[in-house]
Amino acid sequence: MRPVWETLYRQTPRPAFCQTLDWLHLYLKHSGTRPTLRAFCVDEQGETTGLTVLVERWFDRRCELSLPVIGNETCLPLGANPWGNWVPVGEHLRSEMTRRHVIDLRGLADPEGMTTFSLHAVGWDVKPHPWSGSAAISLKGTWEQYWSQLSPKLRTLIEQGEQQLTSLGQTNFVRIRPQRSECSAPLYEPELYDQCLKISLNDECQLSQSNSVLNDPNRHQFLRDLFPVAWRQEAADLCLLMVGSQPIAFRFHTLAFGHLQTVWTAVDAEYHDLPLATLLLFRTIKDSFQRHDQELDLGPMTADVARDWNGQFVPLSRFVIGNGGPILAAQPPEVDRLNRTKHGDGRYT
Amino acid sequence: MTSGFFTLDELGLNLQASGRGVSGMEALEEKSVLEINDLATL
Repeated sequence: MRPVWETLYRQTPRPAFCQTLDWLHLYLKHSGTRPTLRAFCVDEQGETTGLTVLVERWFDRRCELSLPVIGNETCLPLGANPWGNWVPVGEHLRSEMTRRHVIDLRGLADPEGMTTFSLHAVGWDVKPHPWSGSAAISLKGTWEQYWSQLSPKLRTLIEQGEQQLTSLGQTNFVRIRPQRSECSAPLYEPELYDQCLKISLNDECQLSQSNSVLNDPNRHQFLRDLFPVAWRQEAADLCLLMVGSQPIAFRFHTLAFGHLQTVWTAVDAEYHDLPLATLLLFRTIKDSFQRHDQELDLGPMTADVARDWNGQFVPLSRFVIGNGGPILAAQPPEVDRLNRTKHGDGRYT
Repeated sequence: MTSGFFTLDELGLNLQASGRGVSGMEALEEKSVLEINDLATL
């Protein structure tokens, strides 16, 4: 199946590394409740045109089917028309649905109502419920055009922040994007994860808010394993802001065909007077324009911050199918704050 | 032209260009589903 999976992955609009088989292996390794895997291959005229992976868990006497998800990474359906997957998959599942079953799909985009439409086509009377939001920055055009479209408030913050940064001495932006050589996979150095973890454990946001989704301590073991896997697959992108030889902020993205997904980011609390997260994102975007990347998904985000960065806010929905309602009253992932400058009274602006 | 951050082509909604119905659902009867429960098979 791996070649089929890889073909569908290439065909998927806005693919993300969390839609790969390697990621799914990691997910199953780190999902403590050992769910049952249910992968649905949609065949059309002898060709596999879609793939949807669900996981099944039993809670007491009720059964939940959901998409594999860790933090803001969700293994969404694959194929050129991923929304269309829900119709045949739904038809396949409908016959086994009883009052004990619930299909709980969290964090789905519903562009033009395509997801809702597909689920209705199965005969499920389901409504999208607000879940969270993400933001995507298009990297088409030139850096100069992009910069001119940022909000004046954000540009001022960046310009002043850059000036403040020079007071720290020599600073560097370092980007590591491993690539395969002719004869070997990229070499991964575990120290890189250790450096990120050190910053992450001293993250100013985490000190006051430990459940921020991109820096949730519960994800650290998963991230430790994700780093080398993404490295080997040329899907890792690590951005570091350094003072001298010391990293003080980082962003870790996964990369798929020019699409970057923010997976982990943190800044060192020691520099809380500086808008380090903002400055690092600024440098990351500028560098991505030079590399001709296509898009940067910022992860969980509010609409106003997305607007400041001239990003496209994408609302994500939750769909619950089943007479008994959801089993888990799961909370939406908490939005991370990018412009994190902590003031003396504990406020962040 | 985009809808959200997806283009209409990506959504399969560029019907005039593709000549297809929404989401390809007109061909539902021609689709079959194979379920795999074993990670090794994937």
